[in-house]
Amino acid sequence: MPDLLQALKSVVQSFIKDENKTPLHIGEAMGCWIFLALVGETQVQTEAGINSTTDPELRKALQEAVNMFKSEKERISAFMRSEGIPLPPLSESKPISDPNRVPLGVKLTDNELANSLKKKITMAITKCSDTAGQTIRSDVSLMLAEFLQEHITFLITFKSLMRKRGWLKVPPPYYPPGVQQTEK
Amino acid sequence: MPDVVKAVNNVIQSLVDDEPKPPLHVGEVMSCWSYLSELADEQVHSEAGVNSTTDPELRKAFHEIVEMFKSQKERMITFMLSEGVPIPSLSESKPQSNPSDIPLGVKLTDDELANSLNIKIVVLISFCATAIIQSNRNDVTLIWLEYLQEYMTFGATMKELVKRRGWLKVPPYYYAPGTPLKS
Repeated sequence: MPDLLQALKSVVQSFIKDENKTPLHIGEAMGCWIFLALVGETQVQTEAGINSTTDPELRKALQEAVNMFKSEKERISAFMRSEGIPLPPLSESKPISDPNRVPLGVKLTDNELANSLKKKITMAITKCSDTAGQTIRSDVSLMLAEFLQEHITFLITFKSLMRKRGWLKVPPPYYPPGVQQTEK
Repeated sequence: MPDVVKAVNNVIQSLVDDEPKPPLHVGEVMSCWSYLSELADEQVHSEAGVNSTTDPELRKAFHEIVEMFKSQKERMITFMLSEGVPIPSLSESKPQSNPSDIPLGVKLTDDELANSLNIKIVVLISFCATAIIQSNRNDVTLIWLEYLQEYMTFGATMKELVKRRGWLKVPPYYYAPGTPLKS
């Protein structure tokens, strides 16, 4: 975890404590509600992912993601309860099961699992920044900034794993006309 | 399929055909490329969905969306090849299997499956809309418009199913102080 951010946050936090807290506006409430619903579903699907693969590196990454989603879920639920926002119905955690017993019609390959996790993280990042753009209260912005930072940090590490294992899909390179050929 | 859109499509198509076609710009290519790789992933996930549930209505919905993804994939591949855009590596179709053999740690409930299908539609609709905004060439816009319309049509039916079966998640209602009572 970057420490500079932590320091900055502490500084901002001290200003915010004095801020007069208005009730949440409907956009903030909607953002929190959707984010919680999204994180809850993603957590359960990632757990199903852990039960589908035997690859130690991928299992470790998925487990890290699950832990992150769980902690975020707790924090945002606590916040929503304190603000009186009803919680969305959430799916329950999956039990542990043997990856080798999954029928092939349902078992996703490691490549597919990695790409689907990447897409989920991407979605959460978009959702976070979308909501952060709408917020007026600084404590809400800060909470979202925290989530955003966690997701981005995770994605950076995860992408390097994907690149190493050849799971990363790379769009066509951009060649501008007349580009200088570099000598090999 | 709604016919009005088809009709309008035809009209615009006739206008568009005479338009000089510049090469695709990088944004258009990027949209096509990432959309195609996403489509293939979603198709595979939906096939896994068919193999995960015994509910006839949900299976039918998944079958429909798989067909839709397949047809969109074909059209997109044809277009990309004709424009000289490389095709991303695509996920392969899943074989059929028995839903009751899945370990419970992997099996998603009908509720989770239906909601994940809804999320896919939501993501793809906003993807199409973004692509429409970015594209300059009218024939590209039309491709996206067609996809968008297919999702909207499917989404409307799907929402009805999800509502009827109690799988829909509803955000908190908006109660303003002093709202007139409705009887």
